[in-house]
Amino acid sequence: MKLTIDQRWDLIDKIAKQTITFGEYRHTLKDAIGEFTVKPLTGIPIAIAVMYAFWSIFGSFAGFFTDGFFVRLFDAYWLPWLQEVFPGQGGWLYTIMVDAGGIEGGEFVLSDNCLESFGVLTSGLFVAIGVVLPAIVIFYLMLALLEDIGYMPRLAVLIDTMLHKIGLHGYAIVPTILSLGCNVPGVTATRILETKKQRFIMMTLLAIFIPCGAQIGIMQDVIPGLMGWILLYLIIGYFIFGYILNKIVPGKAPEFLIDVPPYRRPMLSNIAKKVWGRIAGFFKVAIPFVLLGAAIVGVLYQIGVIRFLGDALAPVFVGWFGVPKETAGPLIAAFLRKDLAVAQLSVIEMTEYQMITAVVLVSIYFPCVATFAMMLKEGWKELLGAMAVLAVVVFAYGGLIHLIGILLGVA
Amino acid sequence: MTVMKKVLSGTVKGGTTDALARELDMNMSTLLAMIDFLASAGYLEIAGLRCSCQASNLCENHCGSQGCSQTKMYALTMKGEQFLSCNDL
Repeated sequence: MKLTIDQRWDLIDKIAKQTITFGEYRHTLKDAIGEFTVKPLTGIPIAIAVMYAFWSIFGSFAGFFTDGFFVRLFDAYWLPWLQEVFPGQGGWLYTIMVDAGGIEGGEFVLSDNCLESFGVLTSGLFVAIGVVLPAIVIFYLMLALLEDIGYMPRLAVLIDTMLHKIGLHGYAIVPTILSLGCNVPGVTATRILETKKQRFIMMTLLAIFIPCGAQIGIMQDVIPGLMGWILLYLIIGYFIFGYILNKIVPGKAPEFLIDVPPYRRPMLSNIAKKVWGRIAGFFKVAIPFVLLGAAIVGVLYQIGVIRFLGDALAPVFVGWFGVPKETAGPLIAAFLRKDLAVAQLSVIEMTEYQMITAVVLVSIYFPCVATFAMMLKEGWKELLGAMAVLAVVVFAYGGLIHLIGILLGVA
Repeated sequence: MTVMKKVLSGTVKGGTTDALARELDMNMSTLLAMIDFLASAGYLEIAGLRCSCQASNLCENHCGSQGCSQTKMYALTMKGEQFLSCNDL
């Protein structure tokens, strides 16, 4: 008698059950932790606790180094020194490179801190080194720890059901979290997703709703009290528009059977190499763009382009989004660097709700130019599609946030 | 329903191999051997063979063979789907 394949496996299973006797298996602590972190009942509270600890350590570490060290270094020593030694105070080169200053009583007045000076060598360097560097170091250090311990695959399994609602699967958490450091490796990591549909949805959501570490770092520094609301709006948008994209984008989002590796002790040398590699990669992209961004924005201000665009777009900004027309400048700057844009927004006079709306708009309105270039590398059709979605999302979601503000009486 | 069909149906539902072995009351080693066979016979495809520092291009350079434990992900192929639907008849 010839058996079919499945009859053979039935037989194998029966024979295995009858012939193999296992001794009593003793659960190790590692097994218990492994189960606790995957089962939803215990895994979700643990995931919330891990993420809370992640952000608490992130905020404390970044705040300690930025406020406790770099703010003093840049504001008390670097800025006054440059203001003194750089030639041509008040001239266009001085304004772009050192300090745009301000006019008080008809006279040119120098800025007293690097966030408001908007020079390439002051704001540009301060944002890159004083704000972004501590944020990125601690972010990538903790991410490497979670990866090397083996927590990330478990988080992926845990969140799998939720991400299937938006056409993705659990491993989409990886590009999402990587993007919280920098969108560029996040976009590259969308390659781990299997279908075109999944890659398109992921790339679009990353470009629109995931703020990078630099932006989070500066938000933590200049508007810490509003960060929770801004992130909440972005998370809600991520799921709402992910759900809509899953319904309208054709293609498959298959389920997976996952064989999760055991927990293990992280290797210090691996963590050090990973953190160093990521920071080096980030700075290769970030430093030139921050400095170039600050220079281009300075030039655009000098030649009046930003004022012109601000006036032209005022009805949209004021009427539809409910933010001051001065936010046009930072929004244009955000194309080059979003962190720089948030720093610029922080010195514009507006209500708290307008600030929340403006920062959410900076996050969703356009990916920074480095992310844009990376998306183009992944395919121009995908990029065009993502940009079309982005345009709709900015108007729909920006308007919705304004509407919510009006209904709550805070806009 | 045969064991093979149960495993393929389990793949369609998603989840972990641990949970599936418990659900089907199978030895984990038998299940893993079966999954290996199903993958080599074309019923399942290995969708991801990734180390735990997921998707980072640094992974290959920095983890090496000892540094990273691997997560395997299996998805049903067309052949697997056909096998399931044939058996449904």
